[in-house]
Amino acid sequence: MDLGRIAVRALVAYIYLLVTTRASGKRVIQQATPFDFLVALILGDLIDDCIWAEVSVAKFGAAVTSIVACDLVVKFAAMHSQLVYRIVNGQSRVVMKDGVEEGNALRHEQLNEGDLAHLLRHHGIGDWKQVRTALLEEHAELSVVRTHEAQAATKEDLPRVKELVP
Amino acid sequence: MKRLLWVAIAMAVLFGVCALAVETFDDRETLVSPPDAVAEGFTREVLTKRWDRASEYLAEPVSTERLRELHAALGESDEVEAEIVSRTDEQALVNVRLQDTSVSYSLEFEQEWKIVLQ
Repeated sequence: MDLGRIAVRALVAYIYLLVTTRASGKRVIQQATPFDFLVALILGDLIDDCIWAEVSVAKFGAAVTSIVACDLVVKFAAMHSQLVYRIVNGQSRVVMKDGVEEGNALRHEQLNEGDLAHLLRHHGIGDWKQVRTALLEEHAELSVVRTHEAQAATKEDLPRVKELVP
Repeated sequence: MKRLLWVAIAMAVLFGVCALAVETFDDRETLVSPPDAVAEGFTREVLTKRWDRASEYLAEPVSTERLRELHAALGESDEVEAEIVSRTDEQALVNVRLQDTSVSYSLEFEQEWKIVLQ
C-alpha cells in the first residue's frame, strides 16, 4: 500500500479525532470515568480501520461523530440530572470509616484489603487509625479525610502548641 | 449543546473534504477505500459467510444463493491478498489470491468502489 496515502489518511483521522475530542470538552484523564476510557478505546479502534483503508474516511467520520455525539448527550444529561449522573458514573462510596474498612463497600467495588492498603499508602498512610473517612470516588480515586490528630499542623493549631510548650 | 453543534460542523467539513477530493480531484484511493481493500474485504465476508455484510460491497444486489456459490468456489482460506490489475477513474480489475485459488473482481466507482459480480 502506498505509504503517502497511509500518511494522508492517518493525518486526516488524527486531525478529525483532535477536533472532535476537543469539541467534546476539557475533561482531563485524571477525571475520566471507566466509561470515558471505554469511549477512548472505541475511538482508538476506529482509527485503525481508517488508516488501513478498510473503511472510507467519510464512514470513519460518521462513526466517530456518532460515538462522540452520544457521549456528549449522555454527559449533558448527567450534568442536569443526578439520577443519570449516578447511572453513568456511579457514586462515591465510603470504603473506610474511623480506621475500619467497610467490607460490603469494598466487595461492591471489587477491592480487597490489599488494594485498599495500596491506595492508602499513596496518601502516605500506613496506620489505618489515621483515617477518619476514605471514599472511593466515581473516577476510582481514593479521597481520604484524616483524623484531626493525623492532620498536618496549621496556623490554627498554634495556640494549642503554645499551651503545650512552656 | 453548543458542543454538539461543533461536532456536527466538524463532520460536515470532513464530508465536504471527502466529496471535494472525490469529485474535484478524482481521488479513488486515499479518502475512499481503494479497490484492492474493497475486494479483500468482500472476499473475507464471503469466506466467513456474512452474506449481508458481503452484499454491502456490491454494486448490484445478488441472491444469497449466488454468494453461497462463490463461497463454495473460494473454499476455505486464511490467506487473502488482493492486487490491482488495472484501474481507471471509473473501473478497476482486482485479483484476489487465496490459499489454493485466486479470483478476479471487476469494480465500479459510484462515490466508492463497488464490486460487480458477473
